[in-house]
This record gives sequence, structure tokens and C-alpha cells, in this order.
Amino acid sequence: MLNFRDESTFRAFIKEHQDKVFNIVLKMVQQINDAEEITQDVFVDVYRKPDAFRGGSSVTTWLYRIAMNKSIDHIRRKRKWSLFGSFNSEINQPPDFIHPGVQAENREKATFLFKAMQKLPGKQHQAWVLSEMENLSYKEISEVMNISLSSVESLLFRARQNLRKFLSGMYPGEK
Amino acid sequence: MKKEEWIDEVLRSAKEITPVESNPYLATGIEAKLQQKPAAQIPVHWVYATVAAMTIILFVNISIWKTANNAPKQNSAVQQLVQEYGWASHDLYFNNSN
Repeated sequence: MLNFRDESTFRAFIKEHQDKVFNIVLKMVQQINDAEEITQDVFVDVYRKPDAFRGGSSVTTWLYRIAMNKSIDHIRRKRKWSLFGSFNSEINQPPDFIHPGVQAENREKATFLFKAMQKLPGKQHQAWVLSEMENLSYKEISEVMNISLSSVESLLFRARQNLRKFLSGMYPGEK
Repeated sequence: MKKEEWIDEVLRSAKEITPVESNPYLATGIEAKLQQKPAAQIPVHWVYATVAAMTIILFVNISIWKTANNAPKQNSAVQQLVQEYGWASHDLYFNNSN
């Protein structure tokens, strides 16, 4: 069980985990300001409900679970608003996301990848980020997402198929 | 470059993203959020009770409005009938006496 005796203990906890949480959220929501906001919300939840961690899995797995749930909620809310706010072209057509951790030579490809990822259904999106971008094992993914190993395999298979389909439609042509 | 090769390369680019450092002032932001009181949440049973009360009030209003609208109509139909047949109230007494 987590126990934040004082401010410094909690600060140390944040310092230890904030980069991991921020990076995973950034890959999900593809917006730096939103990712920072969600990362803060994750730690606020942790501080307010430390009892929610029962020790069945590692703290990182638990943090990833909270981060993933918050990211998915955020994406859903944004999609809902984009349906209502058809007058707002900025929401309907978000600018291409350029991840700050992508090398210059891969920038174009990564931009296409993030664009295709936006079209994936929630669970496939989560599984893909955890597996292909965070390099988590199937077992770790099953713990984060609270699903069976076979479901993880199936989600990743479908995510790959869908991404290929979406990317096929984005192919810029022979160079 | 062929399409399938291009897709494979795009998918492989997922592995080549290096982690980035988060905002160094993140902890300060978290502490500021913790200082704020959590948004007050209205208990669900109060929401249901309010909705039920509003619905009842709405139904009562509609039924009163309907009754109020129907009453003059019925009267006017009777008046129309009386006028069409030339019956005034005293005519009825007059006919009976004959």
C-alpha cells in the first residue's frame, strides 16, 4: 500500500514516475498540453486515493492503468465535442502531431503513424501504444488493461491490420 | 518505394521514438491542483428526485392547460347549437307551455 507521509515523499514519488506517465499519455492524446494536464490528474488521483493500489501488480502497472483510462476518457470527450462543434475547424482537423522524441529523418513517417493511430478504436489504440511504443510484454499489457493474454494478442492483431488499412489510404505515392 | 514497404517502415517508426522529459514544474502543478477543493458532486438520488419532481410538475401543468383550453370549447359548442336552432333559454319555457 502506498503511504505518502509528507510532501517530500510524494514529490519523490512524482519525480520517479512522472516521465513514464507523461510519455505514455503523450503517445495516446498526441498533444503536449493535454498530456501534461492528464499526467497531473493521474498523480492527483494517486494522492487522493492511495488505497486504490492493492499491490496485486507493480506501481508502474497501476499508474499506466490510471493514465490509460484518463487518456481514453479525454479522447472520447474530444471526439464528442468535435461532433458537436462542426463549426470549429481546429477541432475537426487537428494539426499533425510531431512527437518531440522522433528523429528528424523519421518525422514524416511518425506523423503518418500517429494520424493512423487516431482512427484506431480505444482498446486497440491502448494495446498498440503499450506494446509497440512502450515495449511492454503481453503479460504486462494484460495487467494494465485488465484483460486476458489472448485478448491482448487479438487486439494487437486487429490494431496492426487496421493500421495497415488506414496507412494504405494515406500512401503518398512512389518517390 | 512500394506501398507495402512504406507501410512497414511507418509501422517500424513506432519503435524509434525516444522518451521525452516531462515538464520539471509538473509537481508544482499537481500540488496546486491538490490545494483546490474537488468539484462538489451532487448525489445521484437528488438528481433523480429533481427530475421526477420536474416531470410531475410538467404533467400537472399540461393537464391544467388542456382542461382550461377544452372548457370554453365545450361551452362554445353548446352556444353554437342554441344559436343554430334558435333556442334561447326562455324559448324552451315558451314551447313547454304550449
